[in-house]
Amino acid sequence: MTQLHRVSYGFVLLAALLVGVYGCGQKASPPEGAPSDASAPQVKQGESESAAEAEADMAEPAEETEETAEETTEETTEETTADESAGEWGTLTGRIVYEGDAPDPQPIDTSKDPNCTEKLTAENLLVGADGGLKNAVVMLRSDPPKVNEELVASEPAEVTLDNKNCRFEPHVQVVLTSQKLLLKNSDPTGHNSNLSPIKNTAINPVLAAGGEPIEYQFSSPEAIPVRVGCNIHPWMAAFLVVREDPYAAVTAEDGTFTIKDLPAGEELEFRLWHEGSGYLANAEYKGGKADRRGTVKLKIKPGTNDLGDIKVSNTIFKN
Amino acid sequence: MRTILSGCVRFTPCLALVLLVGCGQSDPPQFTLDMVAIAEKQIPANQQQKVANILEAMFGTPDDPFVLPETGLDLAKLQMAAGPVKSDQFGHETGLYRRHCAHCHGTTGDGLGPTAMILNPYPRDYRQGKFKFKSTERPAKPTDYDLETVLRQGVQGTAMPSFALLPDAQIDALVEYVKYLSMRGQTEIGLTDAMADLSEGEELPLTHDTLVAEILAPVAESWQEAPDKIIPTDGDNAKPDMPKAESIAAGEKLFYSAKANCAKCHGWSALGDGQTNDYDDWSKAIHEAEESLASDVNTLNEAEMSAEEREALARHVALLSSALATDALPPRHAIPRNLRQGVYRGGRAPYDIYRRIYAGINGAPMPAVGPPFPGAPGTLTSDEIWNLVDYVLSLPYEPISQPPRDQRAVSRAQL
Repeated sequence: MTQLHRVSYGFVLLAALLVGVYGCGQKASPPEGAPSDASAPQVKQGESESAAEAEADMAEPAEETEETAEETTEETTEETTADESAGEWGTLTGRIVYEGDAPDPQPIDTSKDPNCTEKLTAENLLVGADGGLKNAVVMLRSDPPKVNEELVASEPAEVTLDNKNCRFEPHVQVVLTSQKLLLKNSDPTGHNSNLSPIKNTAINPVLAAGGEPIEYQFSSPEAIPVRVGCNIHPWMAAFLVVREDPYAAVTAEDGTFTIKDLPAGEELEFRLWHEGSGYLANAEYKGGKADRRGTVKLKIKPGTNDLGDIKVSNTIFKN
Repeated sequence: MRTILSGCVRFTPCLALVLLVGCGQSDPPQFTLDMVAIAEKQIPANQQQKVANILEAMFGTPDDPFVLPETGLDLAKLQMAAGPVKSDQFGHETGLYRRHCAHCHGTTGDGLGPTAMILNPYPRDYRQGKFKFKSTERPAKPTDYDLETVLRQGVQGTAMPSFALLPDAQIDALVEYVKYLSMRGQTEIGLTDAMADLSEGEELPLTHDTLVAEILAPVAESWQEAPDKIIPTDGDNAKPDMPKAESIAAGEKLFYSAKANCAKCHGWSALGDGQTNDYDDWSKAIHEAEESLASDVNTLNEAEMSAEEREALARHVALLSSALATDALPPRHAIPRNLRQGVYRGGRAPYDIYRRIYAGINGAPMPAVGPPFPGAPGTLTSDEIWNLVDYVLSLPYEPISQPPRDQRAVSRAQL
């Protein structure tokens, strides 16, 4: 028995030694910190062909893309020139409807700050009696072929995001890059406004009780609404729809929205968004359906364009 | 040992075991994608592959880094920090990042090295381009000197040690490599954001204009302009000529006021026991992903939907849950600093504390009381910030901060 053992040890050790010398010699040592990528679904870094392709494309500033982008819109412009004589601008209206049972808004525990005496409930999903979805955003995604400058001029020079009763007011609003944003505090307690935009400068100023508002101005539009938080009161949240043009609207309590003075005649791409779901994927309306990124393509006619009820399935919302 | 071996000998597969264990299949290490973000942004598999390919074309691999001129990075320095640990002549070492950093900060700079889980605080994830302890304005990048200071001094109160014994050239190489990993990570975020913005049927153009000019260049520029974003502590921001006791008293008043609001989080005791339920940006992202997953699982179990929708949602749930299991650390609340201990992660010099209060801490809940932009009015004046600095630095020396003597000693008789 021991004899056998000794032989076996020798064999195993010899095998290990051989493996050590031949098997492992040439490979690079594994990285110490390589995180497990077992979960990564077949994402291999650099499949040589396409990596090389990407590299080659980056080297030469190609103009192809712009051309292809224009091509798609050209088709629609040609066939709609007749409409333009009737009027330059059109209004888009509709109502966003939440389909299915909506959970009741949850009460918020504000006990950390005794100054927050108002009873608050969560505002992340507000559904009216008839299913109207409040605080959803309808915004133009494509660059507008033209902008009604009178409409821009009629917008106020400043918009305010107030901190009142330990919540933001309003919860969702549109801010233009031409407008000044005033971060105001009407409460007897201190707040801070933590803005985390993607394209613009992130700020997080303290707002003193009774202090002057802090001024901010966005320099470029944002593809998705910017979240504003208060770290002193982590339940607080607001969203800013940051735009260069005025073609965005936030739905009212009954889910309705109106975007005025859209350029008529051309096909425009709109996005539907809500904080509880991100893009309103697969929203259905009479005559069409949004894609998985909540994109809706519409040709605006002069006068009023009513989309009617835009139905959104409750399965896309986070509760 | 003996029993293990003898047990082993009885089984012939033992040899196979030796073959496997002795010779770990060592493919060269790869950068990995942020799968939590990819699942959250619902980037389909073919586009994930594209993101990985673009990043490899732009930045190379952990063994073979590459940089475009737009980054302003020095490839020679990166080559010294990258690759496997080796030294082919006396005093010349490469693979510095893997030797000194990767076990905590991860090969990709994602803060997911094998030791990360047991550290508190977690190691920095560079990919968001957010760094806490620096001399610049809140959203700005750190300067090279800021990163060098962190490397040389370590971060007090954390697991980050001092690398002061490394030669200057090696510190330089590591600073460059951290910037490289951070630019790569932020470019990845830019790419996945752009992918998430695509409507159905749209493709991201693989062109210089889109990939380099629109996505990479702004990231690189933010690093290049960091030296212009330093918060001065002289001139208008100089410390006022004021008796220390007076300044401390003014600072104390501000600390507990509804103007500066320090006590809201650092507590009325200054022990860091105020608002303790918030997260930093890194943990918040994971916390939100976890909540989103829980909600999706709930929907999957309870809601009615078409077979097609159900399948899509089940796929999303599978991807997100595996990403959270392997590519994320459990979220932890951001606990405000206990100011009575005299431990300051970002440096204990008065100008360090001044900049922390002035600009807040990027990525952390700590907000700013200084002007959000140079020249704009802030919540507090520079003099008021200096008063707070004096008060904060006096806190560890207050009698109440010292443990009472009679409780500190244990008499031998008790044992």
